[in-house]
Formats: sequence, C-alpha cells, structure tokens
Amino acid sequence: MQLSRDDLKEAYRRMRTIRAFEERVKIAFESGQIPGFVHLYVGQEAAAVGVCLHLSDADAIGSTHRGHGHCIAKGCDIAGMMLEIFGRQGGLCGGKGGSMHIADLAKGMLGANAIVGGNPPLVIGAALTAKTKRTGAVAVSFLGDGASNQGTTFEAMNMAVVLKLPVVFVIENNGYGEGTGVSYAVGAHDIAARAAAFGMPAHKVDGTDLFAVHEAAGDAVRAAREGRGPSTLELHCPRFHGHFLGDPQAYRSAEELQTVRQHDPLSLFRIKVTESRLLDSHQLDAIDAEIEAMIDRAAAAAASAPFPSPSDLIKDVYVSY
Amino acid sequence: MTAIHPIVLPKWGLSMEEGTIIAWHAEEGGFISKGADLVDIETPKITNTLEAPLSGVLRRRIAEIGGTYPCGSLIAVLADAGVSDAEINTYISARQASAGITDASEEASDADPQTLDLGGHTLRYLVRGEGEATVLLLHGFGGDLGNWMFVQPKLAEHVRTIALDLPGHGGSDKDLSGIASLSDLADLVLRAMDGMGLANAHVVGHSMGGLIAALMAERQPQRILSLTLVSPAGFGSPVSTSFLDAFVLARKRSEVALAAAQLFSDPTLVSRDMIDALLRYKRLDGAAEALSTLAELLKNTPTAQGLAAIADFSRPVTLVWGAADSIVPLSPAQSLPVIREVIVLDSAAHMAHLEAADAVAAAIQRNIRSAS
Amino acid sequence: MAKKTYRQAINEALRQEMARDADVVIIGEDVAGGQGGSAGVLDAYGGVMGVTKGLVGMFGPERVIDTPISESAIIGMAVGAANTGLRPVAELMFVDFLGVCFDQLFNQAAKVRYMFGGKAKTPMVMRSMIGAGLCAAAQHSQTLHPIFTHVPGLKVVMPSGAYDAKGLLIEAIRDDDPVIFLEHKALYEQIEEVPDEPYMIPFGEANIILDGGDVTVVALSNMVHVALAAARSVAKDGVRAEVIDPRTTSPLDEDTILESVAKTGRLVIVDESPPRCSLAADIAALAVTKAFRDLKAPVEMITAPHTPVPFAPSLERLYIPGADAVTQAVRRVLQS
Repeated sequence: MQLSRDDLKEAYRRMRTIRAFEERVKIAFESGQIPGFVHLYVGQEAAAVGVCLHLSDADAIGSTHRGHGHCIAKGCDIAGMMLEIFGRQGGLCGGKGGSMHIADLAKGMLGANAIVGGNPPLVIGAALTAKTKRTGAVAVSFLGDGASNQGTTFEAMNMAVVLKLPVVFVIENNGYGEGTGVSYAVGAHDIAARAAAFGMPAHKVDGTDLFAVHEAAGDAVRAAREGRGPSTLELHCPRFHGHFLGDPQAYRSAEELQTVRQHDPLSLFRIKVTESRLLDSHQLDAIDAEIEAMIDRAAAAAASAPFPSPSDLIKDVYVSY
Repeated sequence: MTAIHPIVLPKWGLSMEEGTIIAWHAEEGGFISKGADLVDIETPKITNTLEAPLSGVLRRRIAEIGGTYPCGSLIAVLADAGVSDAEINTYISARQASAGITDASEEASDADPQTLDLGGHTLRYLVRGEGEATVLLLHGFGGDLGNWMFVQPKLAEHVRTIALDLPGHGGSDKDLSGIASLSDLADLVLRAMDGMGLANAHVVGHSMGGLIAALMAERQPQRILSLTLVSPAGFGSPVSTSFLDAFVLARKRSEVALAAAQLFSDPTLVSRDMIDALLRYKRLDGAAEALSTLAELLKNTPTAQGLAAIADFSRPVTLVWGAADSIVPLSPAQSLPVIREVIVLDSAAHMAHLEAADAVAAAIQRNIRSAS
Repeated sequence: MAKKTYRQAINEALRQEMARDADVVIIGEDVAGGQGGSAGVLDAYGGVMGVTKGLVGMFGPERVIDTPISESAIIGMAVGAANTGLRPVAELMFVDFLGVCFDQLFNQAAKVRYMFGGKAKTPMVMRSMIGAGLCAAAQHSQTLHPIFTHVPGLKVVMPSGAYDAKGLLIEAIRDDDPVIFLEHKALYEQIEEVPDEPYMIPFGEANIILDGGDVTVVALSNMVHVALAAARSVAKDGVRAEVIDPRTTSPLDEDTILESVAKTGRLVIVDESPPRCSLAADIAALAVTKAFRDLKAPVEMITAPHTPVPFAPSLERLYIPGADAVTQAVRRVLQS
C-alpha cells in the first residue's frame, strides 16, 4: 500500500509526537514532577505508527508498560496523557492509572498494561467481539520480547488460531526483557518461528523502518479484516533508553548504546522522504516546531493541574455496588 | 366441642407440598384456645405458625418435631376431654388408613392453572368447581389469583369458578403493551371470557379488579350476571397513593413487608410466604414496569369512575368493605339504587377476601342467588 | 412454574439471557464438547456437569464457544470481549484452576474500571464450580470464595439453591461489573420451585431462610443446607435459629447480619473454606467491630480445617463442616 504525501506527514507527525512527548516526560521525571516510574518508547516509534496507520478508532489495541507510543499512535489525547502521567485531575484516567495504565476505549486503546504478557488474552477478546458482532474491526496486541516468553501469549496465539480471530500480534523485540537479553531468555532466539508454529503467518521486520513496518502490518491487518485469522510480526526496534527511566543499563555495552542511535527511526524516515523528494526538510521542521509547542503546552498544563480529589479514592471501583 | 377435630398440615400457597415440624406450642392434654399458636411448620423457604382452628384439648400430637409430612397429613387431634382415648385411637387409625386414598382424590380435584393466549397477552387462570353458572374472580393491584385461595374453594362447592391473573400479574404476561387505560383491561378480560368460552359470568372484583369489573359491566352489561366488588377502586375513594408508591418501590423483604402490612387489619397475617411470594413476583422481568404503569393509571382514575360505570346496570351489585381499609377507604358515596347491599366487615381491612373469607364468600353467594 | 434442579435453573437462565441479548456468549472448555472428535458431534458434554447442555444447538458454536484448555486465554478473552461490547459468560470448569488464570481476573478484570478512571466497564460473568463432597481431592474441591471476595472490583455470588441460582445468574449477566458466580458441585441436583419467567435477585441482599430469635447462623452455598439441618436439630429443644444466607459475599449484606445479631446476641458462621482470612473470619470481624455490645457469647466459626481437601471419603467427611459441628456450636453459644 502506497503512502500519500499526507499519509507521510501524518506518519511523521505521530512519530515526532511520540519522540517529543517522551523527551519531555524524561525531563519532567528527572526534575521530580512525575511520580512513580516511566518506561520510554524512544527508538521504537516506527513500530507503533507503522501499525496504527492501518487502524481506525473502531479497531482495538492492547499495549504494554512501555505504552506511551502506542497511545499516541492510536490517537489518544496528548494533554490528557500528560495529565495522567503527572497524576492529575483531567488525566485520561483521572490520575488513577498513571503511565502504565493509560487507556482510552473511545479511541480503541484498551490500555497500557503493567503485567508483561497481560494483554494478549484481552486483545483476543476484542477480536472475539469484532468477529461475533461482525464489525469488521481488528485487534492488535503490542508485546515485547519479554512477553513472548509468557504462557498467556502462547494461549492467546493458539486461541486466536483455533477461533480464527481477527488479531495481529506485534512483538517489539527491543533486545531486552528488563535487564536480560533476548539471546539468553528467548529459546531458539526466534519469536516469529514460535508464532508460526501455532499455525499463523509470522514475519520478522525491521522495526525502525516505518515503510517496512507499514507494509507488513498492512498485509496482516488486511488478512484479519478479511476473516483469514491472526498473524504475527516480530519487529526489531532497540530502545534508546533503559528498561525504566533511571536504569543505569549496566547490561548494555558502551558500544551498543552508541550504535543503537544510528537506527533512529525518525532520522531514517527523514532521509528517505527527503532524498526521494516526497517531503522537504522545511515541511518536517514545521511539524517539529508545531509539535514542540503542543508538548510545551501539555506539560505546562499538567504541572499546574490539581491532583485528584480525596473522594476519587473510592470512585469507579464498580459501575454499581 | 364434642367431636374429634383433626389438625392437618396446611397447604400455604399453590407450591407447598410438605412441611417440617419445628416446634409445638402446646402440650398434649392441655387446653388450647382458638387462635392460639399451636405449631411452627417450616417449608423449604418459610416457617409459619399454625394457630388452633378452634378451642379444645390437644389430645394427641402425631407429628414429631423435625419430621417432614405432606400437606393434608394428620399432625394432631383436638377433642373434648370427654372423648375417650380409645375413640381417639380409632379415629387416628381410620384416618391414617384412608390417608393415601383421600390424598389422591384431593390431588385430582386440585387442578393446575391453565393459560390462555389472547394474541399478545398470555393470561393464567385457575378453574375450580362445576356448575352452569360461572363466577369470575379478579384480583387487585399487585395481587394474583392466589388472593382467592380461601374464597374460591368455598364458592367451588356450588358453582364453577375461574380466578384470573390480570395482565402484569401472577402467571400472566408482564408486558402491558397496548394497555393505556383500565378500560383497555376491562376489554381484555371480556376477550378472555370469549377465549374461555364464557358467554356470561358473575364477576367478583377486588380493588382495581373491582373497578375493572364495573367497567366490564358498562361495556357489555348483558354478559355480567352480577357484580360483587370487594373494596373496589373508583367508588368514591381514591386508591392510597402512598401505598401504591410504597408497593411499587419496595425491593427488599422489609420494604415489601411494610407495604403489605398496610393491607390488613391484623398485620400478623402478613406471613413470610406472602412476602416471599410478593418478592418473587416483583423480581420477575417486566413486573416492576407493569406495576408502575398500573399505579399511574390508578392514580389518574376519576374517583367515581366505577360508580358512573354501573349507573345504568340492571343486575345485582353488592359491595363488600373492610371497615379498617386504609388503601381504598369506605366512602359514603355508594347510594346508587343499583347497589343491592353494602356489607361492612369489622374484622377486615383492604384484603377482606383473605381476612374474612367466609363472610366474603357468603356475600358473593347471596348476590349470585339474588341474580337468578 | 415448576420444580427444577439447580443445574436446570442455571441452564434456563443462560438460555433466556442468550435469547434476550445477542451479546451474551458462553466461552469455556467443553461448554458444548466434541469439536474435533472423530464422532463429529457437538454438545458431547454441554459442560463437564451438563450445565450448558443443549445451548449450542439453540445458539450455535459461535455463541457457545468451545476453547482449548487455556484458562488465561478463556478468562482474558472474556474480559477483553466485555470491554468491547459483548457480555461473555466464561466458564472456569473448577475454581481450583484459578491458579492458571488469576492475573486475568484480579489484575485485569477487577481493575480495568478503576485504573481507567471509570471510562471502561467489564460486564462479564465467570461461572465456576466449587466445593468438596465428590472425592475430587485437593485440586478439584476448593471453594476459594474468600480469594475473590478480597479483590476490589469483583462481585462474588454463591447461590445455595435453584431459585436463587437462576435469579442471581440473570442479575450477574445483566450487571455491568465482573461477577464471579460460584456453583457448588454438590447442589446440581438440588430441586426447588423456579419460575419459568426470567427474574433477577439483587446482589447484596441476604436471604433470611429461617426466622428465629435465639441464635444467628450465617452460611453460604452448600453450607446453608448444613446450617438448616442443624437448625432443625436444635429446634427439637425449642431453640429458634435464624439462618441467614448472604447469597453474595461481595457486596455483603452487613445490615441483615447485624440486625439479626442485635436480636439474638449469638452468632455462628459456617464456611466451607479454611479459617484464615475466610468469610467466617470476615463476618466474625464484622460482628465484633460493629455489634460487640450485642454479643452475649463468643462468635463461633465452623469451617474446614487449615488443610488441603483430602481424597479419602472418610477424611473428606471430616474436612467438610457438618450439621453436628454446627449444632454443637449453637449449643455452646447458647450456654454462654
């Protein structure tokens, strides 16, 4: 599927928004404005955006503890996300979820999930809804290489094949589950082969290349929409930062930390679109500036917003009780 | 009292088949007064106290505590002190020997309710007794055909009786679509008469059912042989809105009990099984909506709609009223010439047919006789 | 209205709700049964206890969904489907299998609404079989209701009879929160009058099964019948026990229990789970924190011992709280 100039701008806009958002979160976290802990998506932007360009609000995604990128790619409100991560009133979850539980069901974002391997069973549920109600929607489970070792992932993959559910498993292999390398923790080092063993198409794709991700995801989403069942994509997309912000990354060599930035999906994208004269630098710079301003506003608003009121503590445990 | 009087395990409601003896309140050989607590009986869902039906000496306690017995089983014998033990023993043996046969024949006459499909409305009704004439019994708001459980068997000794569950009640459909007024309900009951093959009938109605009966007489007077109306709505007094609201809103057992207690002059008559049955009814899909719709219709009914409906009715009309009725209080307005008799029962409130069933049955029988 | 078994009552509730609402689907292992078998039949089981028998014939395999033995996927799929517009009734065949799917229940289903600031709902039911009595041993005989009850966000229902089972299950299916519906395997043949029409029994409303003023006996699920047997036994001595079945442990009808204790001053709790952090302990704590001045005797807890459920019939009988133990407890509280 060819990307129009407008598509390309939109793709860049979303990737740039993720990058700018995460960099601002890093500053805010390091200055003590954000409680708890955060996991940054920097370096993996092309994965979320390349997949979500194929999705509408009617399609569902499940995300991970490293979920800001998925939220933005799926269209979640930036100001609401920032408020949420700051733990403030008006956040997407009223300040009760935080970084690891941002959700917006109206946008088809079923939630970041702080349990590694927590979302695949939930996402096949969204796919079951689509299949049962014949909505034509698809559901996408974003996972890491760590979750590829969880039983829930295997159960969900097998169930999706058995019930022929419209679902795509997108495994973002960023090289590490916390501080343990894939070469140690993933037997046979081949996640796509595991998925294929369940009886579904599974491909390895360069997750830093927006175009490669977009093309592979297009095939997988189309197959799901057309009732041909699930697929898996294993996207290679190293993270720039540690597992969590503040992680000293003692497990990564200095060399690796340097080379990882040579695969910056935003730079790669910029080079491709400018060299092929699809977009020019001025257009991209204008988008950068626009996004920077938006993130500034969101961060400033979040820093000055009130915290949830004490009465929110016992609200929304149940619909009724 | 000179005779031997059997005490049998009572049948409280249509569904009860057996009961377990929990406790005796009287000792063998002791005198017990009519109305005093005699024995506590538990069913799978309820425990009730059976009162002595008349005064006498409790000569024999047959049922053991903890034992479970079918309804109709002999559980005790009351008799005068003068009756000999030998006579008592003979009586008990004879009674127990024939128990199987008697029970079987009673089972056969105790027919199950039937249903009638009126195209969109399924109605449940219970036929008892035989005869050329038929008495049609219409319960009130929130009631069901079981409200006539004491009156219907008495009437059925002489005539054919049909107790009907009105739409929204009992075992009838809870869907009231197409019913925008109580007149629509009267039309529906007339159609039900068609469906049951009733060219005409003596109609007995309680409360809202009384008003429906009057409206039936207004619409097709030739088919109504007589009207006996127990605390009817629309005869001068409005239906208590506080009762209607309390009954509609009641969700918990305690709330239902409080609402139900307003119906009786003696609130202790509100038994666990009555509340249980009301709770179970109110939980049925559609029941709450039906009650709420009917409550609004009743609130908007002109206070004398029933009186107006029978102004030209030429057959006998009897009104029966509990003196203590606070739901539809006795009104001085019933002076129409068509009203043959107004019977006021001191021992009853709104549910005279349950509290003073004998008197209500007698009034119905008198009214029927005067019609022929 | 007819007499129906607990099993039939549950089947009827499922059937009526599936007929009423196309969003209701059943998900579980062998809920139909026979998929992929050489006989080529569907509905080979209708649930391992036959509770869902016949439903696949009425609603088809797309709504009575047989799954692989993958409890996390079953429960999680139900949660995700509930979040996106279905009303799934997932079956966890034996509650003991909670061990292989707990995350999907207590971290996902229970927390979705709160974590997401009230913007999501999870209208799902997890039906599961509980209880000892069939010599099914340690991994197929637990009750585990205290574990569910402990988790905010879950509702927990434990019907003790056929009438309650139907009304509570319909309420559960129509409820917008995740509901754990625990069916006691010893009760499937229990028979009661059950209306043919659909009806709902609200959660958090205890059922006073027996009125009495001398002692309050609180019991759940199959223990209700143990409590009733004990009540009958002490009735021979003129003792009137009030037997209360809370019906749901979350929400719990505290008022009914406290009102009864205020009347009787004596409390016996019968619980088929081990004692530590059990419902018995919870209700005992309720009484001593909120009705201490009403109590005339120490609260008695009749529970299973702090052991797994044994296999041998002789030991299993010892494990399950019995009417004799409850009777003795009632006598003890009356002597104080």
